[in-house]
Amino acid sequence: MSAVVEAVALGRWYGQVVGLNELTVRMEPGITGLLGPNGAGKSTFLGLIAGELKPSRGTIRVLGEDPFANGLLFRRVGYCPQRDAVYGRMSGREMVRFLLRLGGYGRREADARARRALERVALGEDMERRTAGYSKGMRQRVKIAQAIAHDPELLVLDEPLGGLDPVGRRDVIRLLAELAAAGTSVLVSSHVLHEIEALTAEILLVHRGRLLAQGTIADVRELLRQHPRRVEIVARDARRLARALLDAEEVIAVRLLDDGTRLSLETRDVARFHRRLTEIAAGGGFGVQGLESVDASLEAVFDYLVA
Amino acid sequence: MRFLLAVGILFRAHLGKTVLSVRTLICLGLAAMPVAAALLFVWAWDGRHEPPALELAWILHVQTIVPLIALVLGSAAVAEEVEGRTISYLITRPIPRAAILVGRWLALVLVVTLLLAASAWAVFAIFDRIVPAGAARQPAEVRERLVRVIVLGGVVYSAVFAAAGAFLKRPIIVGLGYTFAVEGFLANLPGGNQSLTIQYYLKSCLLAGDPELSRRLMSAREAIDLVSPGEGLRTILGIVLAALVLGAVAITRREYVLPA
Repeated sequence: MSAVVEAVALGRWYGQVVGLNELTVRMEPGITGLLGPNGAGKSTFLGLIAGELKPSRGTIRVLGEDPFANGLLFRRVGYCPQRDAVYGRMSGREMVRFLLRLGGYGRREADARARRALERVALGEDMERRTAGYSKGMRQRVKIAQAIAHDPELLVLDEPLGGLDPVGRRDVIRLLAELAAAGTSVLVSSHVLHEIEALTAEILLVHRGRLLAQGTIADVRELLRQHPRRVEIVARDARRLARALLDAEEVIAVRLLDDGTRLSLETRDVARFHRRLTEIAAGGGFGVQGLESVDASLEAVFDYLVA
Repeated sequence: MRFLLAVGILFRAHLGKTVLSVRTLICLGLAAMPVAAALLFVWAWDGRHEPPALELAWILHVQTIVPLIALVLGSAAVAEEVEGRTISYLITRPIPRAAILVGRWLALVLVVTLLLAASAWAVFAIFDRIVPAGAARQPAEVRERLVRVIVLGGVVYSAVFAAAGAFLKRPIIVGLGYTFAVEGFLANLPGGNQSLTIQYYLKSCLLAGDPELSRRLMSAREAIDLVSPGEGLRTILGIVLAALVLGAVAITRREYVLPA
C-alpha cells in the first residue's frame, strides 16, 4: 500500500528553536491521530504536510509529491489550520465559496459545494451570517468545511475539536469517521488523548519535535504502563498510611509531604494500586480523604516517555 | 489563464473588504486633509492673491498624501492576510501565489486612485468657488495633468509598498522610512541623486516641458534637469512592474510562519 505521508529525517527550525527534529514516519491511508502536548511540533509537522512550511532538512512526500507550494497537490489535500482565522466580513458560505473558486470550481459548483460542506458541519442555518459574529465553535466548523468542501484525498486537521462543545465534538468525530469510511485519509492532531481515541486507534506520538512512538493506542498504553506514575493521597493519618503502603508491591516510593496529611507516592500500575489502597484503607482507619493522579496529563505522560 | 482567473477572484473578493476596512477609513481622513486645508484657505482668503490650488495639490497631494495613502493601503496587500492569519487558506490553494499579491493590489490600487483623484478634484472645486467670475483659472490641462500624476503616484507607491509587504514583517515602518527619510534625503542632495527617487519621475511627468509651471512649483534650490514626461512615465511603469515581479517572487518563495 502506498504511503499517504512519508517523512525521512524531517527537521524544521525556527531560528534557534527546534520545531521538528529527525522525524521519520510513514502514514498509511485511514485515520491517524497526531498526539502530543502543546509545543510538541504537531502544527509544524502538519504545516509541512500542508505545504505551508519548508523543511529545514530531510524530505517529506505527501501523496507521492513534495508539498511546498505545490498547486497540483493542493487540489488533493484539505487543510484546516489550528489558528482561529476566518474572513470576518464574509459569511460562512461566501468564505467557503471564495476558497473553492480559488480551487478552480465554477460559480455554481463552488456554491453548491460550499452549501453542502457547511451543512455537513451543521452550519446550514447560519451559513449566511458573517463569520465575524460566529462563536469559536462555529468558526471551527467553517474551517473544517473549507477543508472538506473539495472532497480531498487527504484531510489534514490541526486540533479540529478545539473550541467545540461536546455535541460539536461528537458531530465532527462522526463526520471524520464518515469521510474515512468513504476513502479519505485523515490526519488529525490533538493534545487530548481521549479525543484521538474516539477517532482512531492509530497514532503518532510526538514530543519536543521528535517522534516518540507510532502504532495503536494499545501499544502506547503498554509502553506507558511500564513507567511509574505519581499519586497524591490526602489522609488524616498519612504517616501510618505511608508505612502500610510501603509494604505493597505496587508501590515504588512513598514520601510524606510537609503538612503531614498528604502523601506522594510512585506506582508502576495505577489500577492495581487503586485496588490495593482500597483494601488497606478499608481495614486501617487511616481517614483517606482524597486521591489524585497528579501527572495524568498528557504532558506528564510524555515526560515519562522521554525520561 | 489560471493566474488571471485567480487574480480576478481575489480582486472581487477583496475590493469590498478593502473599501470597508479601517485602513480605508484612515486614508479617507488623509485624503480629506488637503480638502480641509483648501477650505481653511478659502475662509482666510483676502482676495488679493491668486489661490494656490496647484501648490496645495503639489505639496500636500504628490509629496505627502500620495505616498501616505499608498503606504497605508498598499502595504496591506499581503500583510493584512498575514496579520489576519488567513494567508494559510490562500497559500494552500492551487493558484500561483503571485496572484494573491496582484489580485489584492489591484483591489486596493482602485481604492487608492479613487480617493486621491476625488481629493484633488475637491481641492480644485473649492478654489474655483473663490476665483471671481471672468478671472483666469488654472488651465484645465494643467489640472488634469496634476490629477494624472497624483493617480500615477498612487499606483507606483502602492505597488512598491505592496511588494515590500510581501518581503517584510513591518512594511509600514519601512515604508515611512523610505518615503520621508530616504526619498526626502535624496531629494535634497545635489547632482543627479534625485533621479533615484520616485518623486523625480512624478515631477518629470508633471513639469518637464512646462517651464512656467516648473517655476511656480519648484524653488530655485530644487530646480534640476528632468527627464521628458514620456520617459518619466515609462520609468514609473517600469518601477511598478519591477515591484510587482519582485513581490511575486517573494510571495512565491517565502514561508509564512504564523503564530497559533
